[in-house]
Order: sequence, then C-alpha cells, then structure tokens
Amino acid sequence: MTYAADRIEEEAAYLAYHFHWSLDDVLDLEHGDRRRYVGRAAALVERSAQA
Amino acid sequence: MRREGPGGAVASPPAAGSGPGSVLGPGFGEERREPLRTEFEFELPRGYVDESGTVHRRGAMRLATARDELVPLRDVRVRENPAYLSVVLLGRVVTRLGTLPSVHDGTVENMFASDLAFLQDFYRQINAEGHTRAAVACPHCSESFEVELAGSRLGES
Repeated sequence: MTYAADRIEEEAAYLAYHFHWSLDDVLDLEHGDRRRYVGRAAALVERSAQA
Repeated sequence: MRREGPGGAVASPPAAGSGPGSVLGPGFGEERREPLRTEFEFELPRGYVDESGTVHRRGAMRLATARDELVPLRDVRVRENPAYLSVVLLGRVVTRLGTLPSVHDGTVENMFASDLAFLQDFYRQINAEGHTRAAVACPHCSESFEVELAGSRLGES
C-alpha cells in the first residue's frame, strides 16, 4: 500500500551490496529504518568518493 | 507507541507460544535476536464482532517491513484479486485486537468496510509519517490544526 515492490528490492540490494547484510535481515527492517540505513550507506559512498 | 529493544520506550510482552522462552519456538537452545518493533495503538470506528457477538475495538498495529509488503504479492488470493492485498497485509501487521487470541487475514476479511478503511489509512499514516497525527484545515475558517487518528479516548469523541 505504501511501497512499490521494485523500490523495496532496489533498497534491499543497495544495503546488501554495501553492508553485506543478509536478505532476511534487510526484509525485516521497518520501512523507516531501512530508508535511514540506505541514507547512511549513500553518505558513506559519497564520503569515500571524495576521499 | 511502544517499541521493543533499544532505542524505544516500552517493551511489549512476548506473544504466548512464540519467541524466546517458548520451548518449541524457533531458536530454542540458542540466543535469538529480538527484532526492533514499533507499535501504535488504535480504536476501530465500529469494531470487529466475533462469533459470540463480542465487539473488539481497541488494538495495535506494528510498523510494516519490506517482507510484509512482498509476502502478500505471492499470495494466490492476491494474485487473483489485487484488492485482497490490504487484507493480507493488515492481517500481518495488526498485532492485537480486543481480547481476540490472534489476528489474521480471516479476521480482517470479516471487518466492517469502515473499519477496514480506517486501518488502511492508519497503516499509511504510521508507515509514511511515523506517527498518528494528521495535519488538517478547518473547512470554514481555513485554520490549520492537527488531529489524532488513533481513535477517540475516554472523555473525548
């Protein structure tokens, strides 16, 4: 009702790629938590790109 | 609102027969991680009437996860009738209702349409905004104010 499946898959893949978390762990994050961690990963990627 | 684990407020009592402490539950004999769960309490506008005629109005809904949104998509009933998605989804995230021993999609299926609509709105509100307050404007004077969506409280209506 609130999230498109492909958006969820995209965010799950992003977290798994950067943090190496298991799919089960990522799927069980609440939406808000998952979005926050996507933001954290993006910030880390940006910081390492600038370094 | 209540949240289990660190970072939250109140820990919910574990459901009977599941989770740590259950002899037959998963993870027996090993340390099992408690997932972080946030719950919001609500009061249904009409109430769910069970087989014995008892009306159940007060309940709680936990925040949804990706799994909650993906599992219904694989449900054959949802594939045949996409409108059934919200029934399956709400059956997963409504954690308790009145004195019912459990809440599942069969419970949601038998709710009044107005209660189902309420729960759909409630779901969107807590998962999109993270709280149960909604910004509204008075149709007469246009003044903006907030309303509580969780339902009436004692002494209020």
